[in-house]
Amino acid sequence: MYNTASASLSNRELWQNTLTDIELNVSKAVFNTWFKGTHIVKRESGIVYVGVPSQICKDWLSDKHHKTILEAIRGFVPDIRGVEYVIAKESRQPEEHQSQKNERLHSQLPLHEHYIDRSDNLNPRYTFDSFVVGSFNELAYAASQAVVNNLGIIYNPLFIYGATGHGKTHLIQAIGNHIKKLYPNKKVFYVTSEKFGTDYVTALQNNSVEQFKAKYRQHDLLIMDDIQFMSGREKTQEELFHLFNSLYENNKQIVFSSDQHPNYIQKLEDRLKSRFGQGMIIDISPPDHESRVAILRTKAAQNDFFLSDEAIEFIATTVEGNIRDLEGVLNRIMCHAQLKNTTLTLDELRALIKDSVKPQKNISHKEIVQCVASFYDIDEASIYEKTRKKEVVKPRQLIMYLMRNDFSISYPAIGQKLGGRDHTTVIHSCEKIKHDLLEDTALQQELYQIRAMLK
Amino acid sequence: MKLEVSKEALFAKVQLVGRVSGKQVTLPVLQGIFLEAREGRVFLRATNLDIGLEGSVAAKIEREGVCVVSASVLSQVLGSMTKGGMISLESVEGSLAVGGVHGVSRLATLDHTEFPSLPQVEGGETVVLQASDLIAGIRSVWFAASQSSIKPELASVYLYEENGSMVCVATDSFRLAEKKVRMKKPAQLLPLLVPNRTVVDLMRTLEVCEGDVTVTFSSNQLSCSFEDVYVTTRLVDGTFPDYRQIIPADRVTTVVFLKQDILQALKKATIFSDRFNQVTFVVEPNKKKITLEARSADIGEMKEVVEGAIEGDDLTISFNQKYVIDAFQSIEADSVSFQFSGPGRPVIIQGVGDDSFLYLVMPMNK
Repeated sequence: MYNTASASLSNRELWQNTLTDIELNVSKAVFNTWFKGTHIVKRESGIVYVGVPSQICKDWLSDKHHKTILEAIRGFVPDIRGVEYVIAKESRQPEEHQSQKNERLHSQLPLHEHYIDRSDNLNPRYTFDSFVVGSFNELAYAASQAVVNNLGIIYNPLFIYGATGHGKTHLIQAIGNHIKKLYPNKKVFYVTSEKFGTDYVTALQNNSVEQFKAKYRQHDLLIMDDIQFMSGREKTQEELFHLFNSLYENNKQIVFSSDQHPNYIQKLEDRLKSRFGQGMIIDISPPDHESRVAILRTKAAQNDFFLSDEAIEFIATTVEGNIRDLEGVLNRIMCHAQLKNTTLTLDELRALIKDSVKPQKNISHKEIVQCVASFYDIDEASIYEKTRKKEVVKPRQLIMYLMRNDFSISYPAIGQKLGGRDHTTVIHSCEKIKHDLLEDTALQQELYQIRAMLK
Repeated sequence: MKLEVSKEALFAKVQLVGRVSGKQVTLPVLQGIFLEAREGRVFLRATNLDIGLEGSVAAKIEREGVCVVSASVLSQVLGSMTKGGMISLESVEGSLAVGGVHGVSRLATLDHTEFPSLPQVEGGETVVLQASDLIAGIRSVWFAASQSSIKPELASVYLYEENGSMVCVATDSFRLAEKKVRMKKPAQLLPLLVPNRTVVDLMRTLEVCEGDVTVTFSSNQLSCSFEDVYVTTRLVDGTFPDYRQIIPADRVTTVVFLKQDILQALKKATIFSDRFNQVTFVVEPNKKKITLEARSADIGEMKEVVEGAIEGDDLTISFNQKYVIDAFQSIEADSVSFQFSGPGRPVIIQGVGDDSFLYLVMPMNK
């Protein structure tokens, strides 16, 4: 999290100033030995956390130089109340001149692909520390924290849903990584529903269903990502149902994620839906403007990259799309800045990110019909027909409402496009849906889902 | 400080502890050994900030106190004194007087307040291991660790426990060495990354130990203690890649050599190898022949047929011979097997009948 409260100085600037100050007060040897390689990890409620390379360095600084450091820092930011020392991971060393010949001639062992721990599939990069909390995801974050602190007791299962690129995977993996850190003996396992499905099929083929069951049932925390891909796979769903019951009865925590509310996942067994609902279902909505700014700041800081406030503001407002898109744009900017070795001006930024600004998408009325028809699982042609079957009438009205509200098509045009209906029919439909929306929460959800699909 | 102590006992400890001092140039006091006389013993301490060592010797203390003297000077002075007997140490005004039978040397002291204390492991776990197990594991793999500090987790020896065995792994991403040591005292060992800058000193220190060693570790720091010795090293906080996934499972060609034969051929290839250290293995099962080739524009070239038992397909593949030769220091068996998985894929080198050590080398592209 970033902190603007205490000062306008960035952590890096503050520490650089502090070090310059300290350098005058101690001998060169002492400075090079103990202060080189330190940095400010974070500032939180008046406490500065200084990252040091090792335990010995931590002991020495807090024993011998604590007062010097505190005084020096207070000289720049008076409301600092304390300094804490933490052993930080070694920061990336500047690239040395390595034996270049090896690089070129020798193929390397493909190690870089295997940093993910295979025993639990967790990517160590995803932690709570690197998770940016804003109003859009604070509920999900709080629930995850509650789960971490009361594993398997409250909010079981935890079901997090939200559109792609909003940080679901990050959050649920952070739960796993945190549990792993707190309780090294607990068995944590992360799996995508797709992998679970293939595992099950393989087990069926090899006649090893028992092992499959045992493998999944041994975990203390099971995290299953992208549950929506279970849709239509009945046998896999049944297996998941049994697995769920077994884990749940033994008070083992289960965490799911999906891109939709479970009730709207197509072809999902009702008994699974009801079980998902018995714990906690939380959505991560699209990030608001402030959160986008915060995310950009954090990501820039993580990469030690400086971006002016205007630039951040500019990116946050112009770049449409989710957090992943934001990260992509930021990476592009960093790469360019490094190549040019200067900070980019706003004009340059504008030119650079022009591709990332998504154009307003044009949707034909056919696509809307198609989308709604598939959502309600009805025949597309029936929308255009003069049928007044109940299951067709509602989607048809919804289509009219969408065309009118979201795409501002005139009433007569809508009527004409949907099989030559009178414009008064269209007006009535729109009014009806508008009225129903006020009371019918299920309808609200459906509309939300459909709109998401249309985007 | 004033005391009398057995010269040989002190000398041994100075050599043990002083190993790590003097390598650090930024802070002069770290070239020294910290001596402290208290409670009937003289304690010796040295550190280069990555690794720290402490030992003690029983002594007749007249006056307690502390001082720091250069480790190399103290070691040389003690080394040049007559064997055996007692010596006296006394600190007086900025110097340490070392008195033997035949005379007194005065050593300049360094400011002892500048000398850091050795860190204790905070909130760590403790296990008891046999020192010989730990040494055997580290010794077999440490040379394969990366020398570059770009990726700290690769510039380390990776230690973890699996089914009662301690597994040590090191790789610089061109080759990889793995050693499994069946622990005589099975113990839970969380994955640890010991930096290669300290792992050799750690190993050499443990060589003094004949029995058990108490190991305490957290995610940042590890310490070992046995008898009167305490050694502590920084650990790398990171994630080692799941290297087991890159060990090829399929074998296309397997060749078994007598260790002596292949080593001799490789050494000969060293003479002719170019600056890339390239040596080419030509395996021809039909002719029952394996040829090693090396060529350098300046020196000349060599071809040597090595006898071996071949199983599998034809293969021509090149390696950096230095990486291949490195494997042999950890293989005790008389025969070694080279298990190839085809062109462009790593070769597995193992002693025949010994699964505990596995060595993986990537071929060269050319």
